[in-house]
Amino acid sequence: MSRKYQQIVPGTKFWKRAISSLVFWFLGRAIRAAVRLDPIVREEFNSWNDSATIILKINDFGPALGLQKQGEKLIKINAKKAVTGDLVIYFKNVDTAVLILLGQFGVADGFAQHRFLVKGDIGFSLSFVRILYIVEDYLFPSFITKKILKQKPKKGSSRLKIYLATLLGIN
Amino acid sequence: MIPNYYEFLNSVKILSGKKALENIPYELKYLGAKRPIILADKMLVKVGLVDHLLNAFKGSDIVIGALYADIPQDSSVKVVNEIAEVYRSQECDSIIAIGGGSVIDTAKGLNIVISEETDDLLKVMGAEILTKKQQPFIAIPTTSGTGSEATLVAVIADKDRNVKMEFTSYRILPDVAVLDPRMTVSLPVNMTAATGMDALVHAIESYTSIQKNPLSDAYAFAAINLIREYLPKVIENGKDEEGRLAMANASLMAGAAFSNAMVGVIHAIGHALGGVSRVPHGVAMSILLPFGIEFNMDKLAYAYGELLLPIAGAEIYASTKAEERPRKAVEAIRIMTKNLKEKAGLPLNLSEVGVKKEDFEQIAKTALNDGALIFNAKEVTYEDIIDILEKAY
Repeated sequence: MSRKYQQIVPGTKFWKRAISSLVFWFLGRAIRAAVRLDPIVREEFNSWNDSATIILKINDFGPALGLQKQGEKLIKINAKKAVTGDLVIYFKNVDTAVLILLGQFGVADGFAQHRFLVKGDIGFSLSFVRILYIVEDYLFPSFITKKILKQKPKKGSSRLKIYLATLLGIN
Repeated sequence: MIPNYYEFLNSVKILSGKKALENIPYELKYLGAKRPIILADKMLVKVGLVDHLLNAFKGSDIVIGALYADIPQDSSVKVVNEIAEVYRSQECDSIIAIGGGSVIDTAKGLNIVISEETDDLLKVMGAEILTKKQQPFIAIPTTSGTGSEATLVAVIADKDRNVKMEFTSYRILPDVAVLDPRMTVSLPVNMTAATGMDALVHAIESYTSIQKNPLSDAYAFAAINLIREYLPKVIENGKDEEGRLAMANASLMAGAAFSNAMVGVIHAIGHALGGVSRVPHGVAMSILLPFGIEFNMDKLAYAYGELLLPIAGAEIYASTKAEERPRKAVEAIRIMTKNLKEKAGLPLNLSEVGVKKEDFEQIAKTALNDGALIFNAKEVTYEDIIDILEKAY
């Protein structure tokens, strides 16, 4: 009897987890660069409460990104150690997280399709999403942003500056 | 067109028709409950609607744990926590809400507090994050309406922290919605018109939202058909029970539609008008509807063209050329709102309801942070909202 019925332990999706981790790392830097260099993003950021914390995570055990406003700066925090956040965006699974993170479909569509949960104030989440739209427009080429953004957002800096700041970690 | 992916849930059991209230004791037993708390507001007690509900329990073995009838016009966390204390002290095991949107939202808030075992709703604010099974919950709408008896949304204000908390979860859907014509026959004509238009906007916005799907579309279409036919009838004759029941069904169906497809720019601005300028929700919806459609027209003309059929009827639809249908749909809505102005005094412009131009900036900023905006098919900026407000003024 015990040989006939064995438990099935699901494996991991190593490459999707790895890609998500990498994109989170890059995205975190890009958001921080945009807060520093783009006055439009800055204005949005300034409306947040001090120590406002944002966590993006993929289910309970996947990769995560944590950001926190500290005074004038947006710093990276250890998302896995953070107890909670003012805003937690929780992707239901790594497959759809990868699709959104790689620009296969947009944040608005992702939310409409129930691909992620949102814990926290919806108004604050919209403010963060407006910043995300701008950062996506910096990072992705136009053939992708045409698909994932309803409209090209107004930006206050250049793609080159944001990319350089992201790659060099200037934030 | 089938969406790439969608989710749909309408788990609410619907009791609709004559003497529907009298089935509530049975439904409570089916849900394993025997000691409900009843939530209502003072006006409903005064006009005798709560008496209809209490009479429905006669001859049953259900004991009502408590009747809380002090719910104000807007749901607030203070009231929710107060009721939770009553619920616990009276050892209630279920919730019956009889009223409009604020009573039903308060009941949803109560259910969250009791079931999530929290006294701080801020901790569980958000979309799809509730984890615990909720208490048995029966909703009896007395307007037609907000559709809250069939929606997964609740909005509760925390006045001390100046926060409007939004909760979106399949878990807060009522178990049962009871549509009894006795609940709306005494609704005054101006409220009948305003709440009817609220239901219409739910249906139209859900049909054009980025979350739309074939099932929500079916509910929306059916709701608009009923509103077209029956809203004028109940405006003429409030005692028309068939008409009242039809409107209750339309409101519920529109609620089910928007629960599964959400709304858009009209609701985002309408909520802000309510918060900043105290414009009643249904009135704001009626005023903004044609302007919101015109704003979205370049992206959604095809959808508005399809909606001409339920908005104006088969004859007008068939006799209108395909390319003319979107414009004709807006025209039909303007005719509808003009009629409601004449027959029910429903305002047509924001200036008629005391909105001040100097508040436009605050209204636009508030609307920009409304969750409904993300579901609008067209991106909406601060300048767009100001433009809509100017046109609707």
